[in-house]
Amino acid sequence: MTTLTNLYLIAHETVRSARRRRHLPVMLLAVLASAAICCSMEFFGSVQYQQFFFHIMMLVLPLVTVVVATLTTCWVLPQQRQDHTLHLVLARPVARWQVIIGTFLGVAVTSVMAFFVFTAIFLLSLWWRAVVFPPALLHAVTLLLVQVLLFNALALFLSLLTTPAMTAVVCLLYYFLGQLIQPTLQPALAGTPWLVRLPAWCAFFATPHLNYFNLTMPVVHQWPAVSWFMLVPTITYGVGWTALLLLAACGLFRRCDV
Amino acid sequence: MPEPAIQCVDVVKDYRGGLGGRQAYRALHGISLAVPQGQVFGFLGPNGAGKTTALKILLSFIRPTSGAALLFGRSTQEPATRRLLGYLPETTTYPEYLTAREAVMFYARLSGLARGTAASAAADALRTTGLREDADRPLKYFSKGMRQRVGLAQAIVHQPACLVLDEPASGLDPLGRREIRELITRLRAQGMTIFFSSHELSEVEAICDTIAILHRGRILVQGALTALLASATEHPSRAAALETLFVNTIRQDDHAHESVSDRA
Repeated sequence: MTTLTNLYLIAHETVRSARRRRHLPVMLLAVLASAAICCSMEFFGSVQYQQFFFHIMMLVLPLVTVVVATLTTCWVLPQQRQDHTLHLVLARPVARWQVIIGTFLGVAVTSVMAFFVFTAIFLLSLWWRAVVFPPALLHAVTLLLVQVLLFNALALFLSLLTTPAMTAVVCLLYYFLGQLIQPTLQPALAGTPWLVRLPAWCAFFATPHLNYFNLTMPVVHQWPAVSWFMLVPTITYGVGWTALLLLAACGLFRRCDV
Repeated sequence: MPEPAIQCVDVVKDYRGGLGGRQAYRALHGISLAVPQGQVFGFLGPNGAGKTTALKILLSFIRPTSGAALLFGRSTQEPATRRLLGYLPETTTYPEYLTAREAVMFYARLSGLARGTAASAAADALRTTGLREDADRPLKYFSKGMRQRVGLAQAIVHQPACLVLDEPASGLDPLGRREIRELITRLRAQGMTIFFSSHELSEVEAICDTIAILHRGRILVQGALTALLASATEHPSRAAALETLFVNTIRQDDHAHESVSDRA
């Protein structure tokens, strides 16, 4: 019970402080602007217009939500260290893993709330322009949500190792490079000398593949949705990586000097 | 004989730097100290002596390279042990959107108090520190002295057996210092053990029962303040005697260190 209370208290304070960050209104404006631009377009035919709309949506929504997840997370622990509030928490009967998990829950709630608001803005725009919802849209949104949690965990882990600015840069670089890992490395895993294959295997398994969470093509081209059963491995993959990064963050924070 | 409230046993701390951590700087050279229960202990030392490192080890913010810090015989690395501890850092920037009551309630609940108990404990702590009238104002409107009182309120809200204060009077006006001193005296009367780290010798002289002087990561002097000052009877006041004791101890150690360096 004490553990749950501590997690709730830390998460609650994290949400209260995170929602005052300035990047949230900036990202909201970016989403509103993107949606407004999409809504104001008139010069395509119906199908082309829908494809254009979904292209913009599937470009802006993942990027903005990853930026929100990263910027919401990367400042929390460094800021608490700097203003000594972390010391006040750790001087209490609170285990260090509770600080990591509580902080993660707080930033995850903030990022997920922002994700739902941003998604709702796009969905309202679609509804207003009477665009037909693609069958894979719900799948795509679900996978993007998992990606947001993954970036929360990644930014939290990195914020223990480096500065907030560097954490943000690494996370955003990874957002772009992570899409390419699987398509680039998969061919190198077979039929190459072991000297090439070994580092390729290491890179392949040591990094989450973000292209698994990208359903842009099925959404844009209105492909039929795969069954939810097919989506479970991908969700498990994302949640597994999130858990692994949180475990690594707990291990690191347990040993580190604050 | 009761167990010491705070005990450091041969605590060594090395900070590693450089490529692969090959350069090491020893911040603490095996310090040992014991603070009896119910006493006010003054932890003195010039800047860079290792006071903050020792405090951080005591509070389990950093791990010692060797040795142990114990609170009532239990390791402070155990979260449950820290229920017995209250801590006031030298400076803290509390979230400005919180009111004093919310901030103190938050730390009370993290200390294991239930919501109802935490509310009444926070009200008591705020009254004790003279913040009853301002309890529901946001902290962004608080002066430095008032924030320091919020710090004290959060430190005592769960009625800890031991209070660790890092420069509690730092940045306060004379009135604020007097109030903090009176509060510490009241807490000692209630049986609380107080570990008091400070540069302010007059504060230490006024409230401490025992002291230790730390320099270059070593404890040079440790004992009852009255006994240590007894030798300095030529001074007109105890404050002047403590200053002389402090300065002489540090200078003697510096001379000894220079002699060793010259011989090397």
